[in-house]
Amino acid sequence: MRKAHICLALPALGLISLGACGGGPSAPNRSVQNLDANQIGVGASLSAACAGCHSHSSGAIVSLADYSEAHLIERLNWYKADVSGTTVMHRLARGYTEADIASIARHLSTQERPE
Amino acid sequence: MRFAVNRRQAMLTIAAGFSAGALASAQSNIKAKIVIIGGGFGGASAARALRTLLPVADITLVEANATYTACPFSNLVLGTDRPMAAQQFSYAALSASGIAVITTRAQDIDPAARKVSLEDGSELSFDRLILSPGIDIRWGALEGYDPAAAERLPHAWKAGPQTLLLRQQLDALENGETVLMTVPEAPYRCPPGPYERASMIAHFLKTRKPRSKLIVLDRKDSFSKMALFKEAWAEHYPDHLEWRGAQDDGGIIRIDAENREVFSDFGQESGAVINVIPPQKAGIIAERAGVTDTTGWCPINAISFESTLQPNIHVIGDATIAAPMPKSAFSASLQAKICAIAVANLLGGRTPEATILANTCYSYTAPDEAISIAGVYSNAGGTFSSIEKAGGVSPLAASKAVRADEAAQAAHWFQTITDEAFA
Repeated sequence: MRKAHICLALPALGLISLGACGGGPSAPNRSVQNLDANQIGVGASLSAACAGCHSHSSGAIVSLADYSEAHLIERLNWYKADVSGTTVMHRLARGYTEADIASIARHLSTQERPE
Repeated sequence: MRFAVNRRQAMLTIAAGFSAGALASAQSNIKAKIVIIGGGFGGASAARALRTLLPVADITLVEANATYTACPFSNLVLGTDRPMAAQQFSYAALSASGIAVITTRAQDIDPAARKVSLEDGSELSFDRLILSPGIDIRWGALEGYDPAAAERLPHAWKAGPQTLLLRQQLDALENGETVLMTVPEAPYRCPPGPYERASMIAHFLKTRKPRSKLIVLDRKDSFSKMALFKEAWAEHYPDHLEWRGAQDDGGIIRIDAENREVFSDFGQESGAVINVIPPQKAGIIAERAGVTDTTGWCPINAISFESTLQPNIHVIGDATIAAPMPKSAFSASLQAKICAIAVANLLGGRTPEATILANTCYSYTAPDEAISIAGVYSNAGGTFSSIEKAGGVSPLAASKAVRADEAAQAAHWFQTITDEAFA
């Protein structure tokens, strides 16, 4: 059994606007308060790997900032199922369960976007 | 224009790791002292993640160098026109975000007293210490290879002056002279790194010293992405790269730096330029902290990254025993974030729990072609294990477009992972 269960409303990874350069506490994430804190913890940990490659600027690797939860779930499951795929995403997606993918998609899609 | 630049800086900051969002009040109030030693992909990323997770905690990063020189992509500095400046990063953004960055060397650690002593004689106390010390060379493990020998036969396995020294030697090579590279047994930093480097040096020779050749002398008989590298070498460098494994007497056991000779059990080779990739161990401060075992590396709990040998000291990155998770920049950056979550939980009186981690490593086989390996790992039970049927390498016999796509993705990855840590 693997069950990530971080009992905190953890801040998001990679996809929230700080609003200003220089860091420091900023406006709270608009969506997080409505979600179950444990679920956010799971999603934050699972999604940490995404920020290793996906930034705000789309280029050779796409930005996830504009993906909806449904679109993320669809894409990740497509990668998982496409046995003839050649990219790292095909190989990585196969390591995540449907529940993991749902957590990741929910987490990534509920972060604030840069305007 | 100025606005545009600041806007870009803001965007890069945003992209970095964790961002300030909704924080539980319990965390917001934690005023713990956290010291991080080592400002590479692990240490810098950990400092930033903790800065966001624990906004009022006292976070100090101790790093010996004012400028960081990244290892990933340094093989392109050796073999192509990539400038060294593209590898270098400052800590200005970390300082600006409220992380105390101290440019000095950590000399010693007293785990019981929870104190770090610095080179200038001052001390730092900590509630939690995160070590991200990278690697040190295991001097003497390869007979004849000591710090003086490394000035003649560079290892270039820590990017910086050693990288430039090796490049200068390649530039000075006479067309027709031989280049040697020796490769150690695992574990070492960046498992596919020697073979990417071999590709880049072979490219350099093919394009600039076409009568010269690189011979790779390896203590192993198989290596990361071997079939893919061999496929690329057969296509691109049939006359410029020869690889010899242990079975072909490739295992080097002694170095004569003075005469630029290397010796195996039965043979000897000499080269005008010799790149010795030596046996390695965790960065020396890990030994002084008492977190290394007899292997020279650091055993950890894979959920919290806390040392199994010393409480309140966490270790991340290349220094850890984390196999099957490799010693890579991607691993260090992700371990930093997972460790930061664990430290925030522990300081808040909560128990960190298991999750899923991943790794991706790209390697260039030519300036515009790359291959990759990926893995997905569980840390359940406090040890890492590979998730079955996930991960793996790029397909063999793929089209040029697949290789070119991965080369572009590698460049994008480097931009993202360095922004995460430093921008």
